[in-house]
Amino acid sequence: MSYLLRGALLSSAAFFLAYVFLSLGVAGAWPLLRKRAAAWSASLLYGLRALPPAGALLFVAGFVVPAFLCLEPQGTDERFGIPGIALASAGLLMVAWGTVSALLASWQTARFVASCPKTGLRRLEGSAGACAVEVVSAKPLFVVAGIHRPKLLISQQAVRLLDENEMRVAVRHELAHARFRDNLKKLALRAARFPFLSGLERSWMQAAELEADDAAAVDACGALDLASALLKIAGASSPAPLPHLAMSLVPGTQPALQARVQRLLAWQPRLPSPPRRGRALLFFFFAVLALTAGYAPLLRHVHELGELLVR
Amino acid sequence: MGWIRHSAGRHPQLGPLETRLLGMLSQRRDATVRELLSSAQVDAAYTTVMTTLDRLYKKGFLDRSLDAVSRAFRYRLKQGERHLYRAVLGNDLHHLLQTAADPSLPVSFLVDAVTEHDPALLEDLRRAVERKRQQLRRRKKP
Repeated sequence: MSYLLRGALLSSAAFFLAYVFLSLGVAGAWPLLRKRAAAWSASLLYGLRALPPAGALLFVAGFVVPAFLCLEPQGTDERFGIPGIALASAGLLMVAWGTVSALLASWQTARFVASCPKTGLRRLEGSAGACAVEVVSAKPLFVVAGIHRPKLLISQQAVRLLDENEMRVAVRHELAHARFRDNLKKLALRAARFPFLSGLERSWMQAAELEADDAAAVDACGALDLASALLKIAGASSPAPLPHLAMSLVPGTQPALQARVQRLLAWQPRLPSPPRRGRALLFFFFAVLALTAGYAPLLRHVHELGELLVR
Repeated sequence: MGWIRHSAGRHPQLGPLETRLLGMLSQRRDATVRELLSSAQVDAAYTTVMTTLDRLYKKGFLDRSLDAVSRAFRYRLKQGERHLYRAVLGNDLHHLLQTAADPSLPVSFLVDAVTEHDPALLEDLRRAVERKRQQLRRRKKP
């Protein structure tokens, strides 16, 4: 077996093991964290959800590949055992499945946007490349869809329902989703699916809605306008089915809508939070220091583990 | 799995009181007739609830054992809530999809029913928004 093929198979097997191990760890910890996580920001929740794939990638790129390149002699003719080949195949299958899922979600979203009959198009100022497209739809639609140059789709029914102020703040809400790249984050989650993490994903989605509400409601009147817009769209009729890579103004369940409206009713100006950059920099500095000091012995351990894995 | 086979085979029709009692039992581990009546969630006579629970037991939805203290039957779901919904809803949905000319039609109505918001709650929230708006207006006036 060639040197490079052996390295690729080892990386794939290590990625699979690290990904499953981290995913199970996060899935196991989530029931314990769920109550406390109600106060967490969307970024923190997304970070927790993205930890398994990102951690597995970092482990492979930062440890497995360097350990293989530095410590594996090129001339040897080592063979991969059945467990190693099975793990490597599982890793490759997982990556392929994630890629296909992400591509399908992108294709489905692009098809959805293209199939909406457009009646008007206008560019919005400060909209991060998104443009408002008024569309004809039997059901109220207020959604930002797509990743590269996301489209803001607003049905004529929604235009009729909302007054000028409600429309302005609702558009700001959707543009906040575009600015926070929420659809891109959703695409990344489609590529890194794991069965027991849907509860964490739902919590992130709800937190992302709250974050977009905060970005849209700049004062108490804006908060009331947004609450009113949410209720009008929710009350008009049931929502149209949406593609995966889209963020709707009124997604989710009734309790989630109720919680959002009550939060907007209790709107208060946000106080600037004290900067925590110093503490984060200090932590980062010590982490880099510890890693640098222990990197060479760690690589040896990882290489030994890799040898065990492939035999 | 006995009662699941039974329900799949004979398509059990559940009445409103039967569904209500199954729902109440799914929320607690077990209960006697008197305990169910004392929760005030069911408006029926003692004998009616007793007969209905007995019928559910015979249909295979419930298990029962004699309570040592009250000397009455203590009923519990034979399987978990998940199995209950799978047996009852699964069978009904299967029947619905089999008989529909266009199977996507009942599915779209099901999605509508699940995602629809309670109009009364929306009205309450709308009133709350209006009250808050009036408060803000009063505060702004000199």
